[in-house]
Amino acid sequence: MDVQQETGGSPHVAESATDAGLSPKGVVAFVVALLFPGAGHVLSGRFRRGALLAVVLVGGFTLGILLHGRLATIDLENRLSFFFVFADAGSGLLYLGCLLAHVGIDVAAKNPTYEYGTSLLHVVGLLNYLAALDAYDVAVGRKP
Amino acid sequence: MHLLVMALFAAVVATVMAVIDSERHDVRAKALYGVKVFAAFIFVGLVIGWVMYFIPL
Repeated sequence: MDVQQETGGSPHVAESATDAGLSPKGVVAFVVALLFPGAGHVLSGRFRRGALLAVVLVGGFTLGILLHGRLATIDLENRLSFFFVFADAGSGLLYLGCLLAHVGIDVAAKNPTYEYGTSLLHVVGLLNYLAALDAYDVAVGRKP
Repeated sequence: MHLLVMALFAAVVATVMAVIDSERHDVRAKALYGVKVFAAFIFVGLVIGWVMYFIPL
């Protein structure tokens, strides 16, 4: 008799536990979602969910820039900057585009909304990591 | 201004948390969860702001 039947576990959980490898379809959805917020869900056919994520995350990123938030760049003398770069880089092409266009880089910290904008940029990037993981789960069929 | 920005921040986080929530699958339950997260953010923000008023910094 199957161990999972003896212990009363659900077949779905047992199937997930044995399937330890990464699914190529899921990895593609994850990477696409990281590059552009919501795109991973759209790729998996969840158009409304993807559109909502895109509107909210791109809107949040734009709001962060409009509030004079500063995008983190690597500073070798300040190792903490790596964490902030990791957070901001979660926005994918939005972060890369702003770096190339030099938007949100030379921002004066004296602006009253600087902290709000910078925090929003970090959080949007981190939320997009979560959204990309969700896109992976949707692509491999773990979530509806 | 501060309250407005805090509300916008809370709205962004609450919406994403509701969309990627794995325990609720129908739209109504997800929307309700998003509203709860939003309300929690605003409530906690106001409480922290009120407490900080008394801290001499």
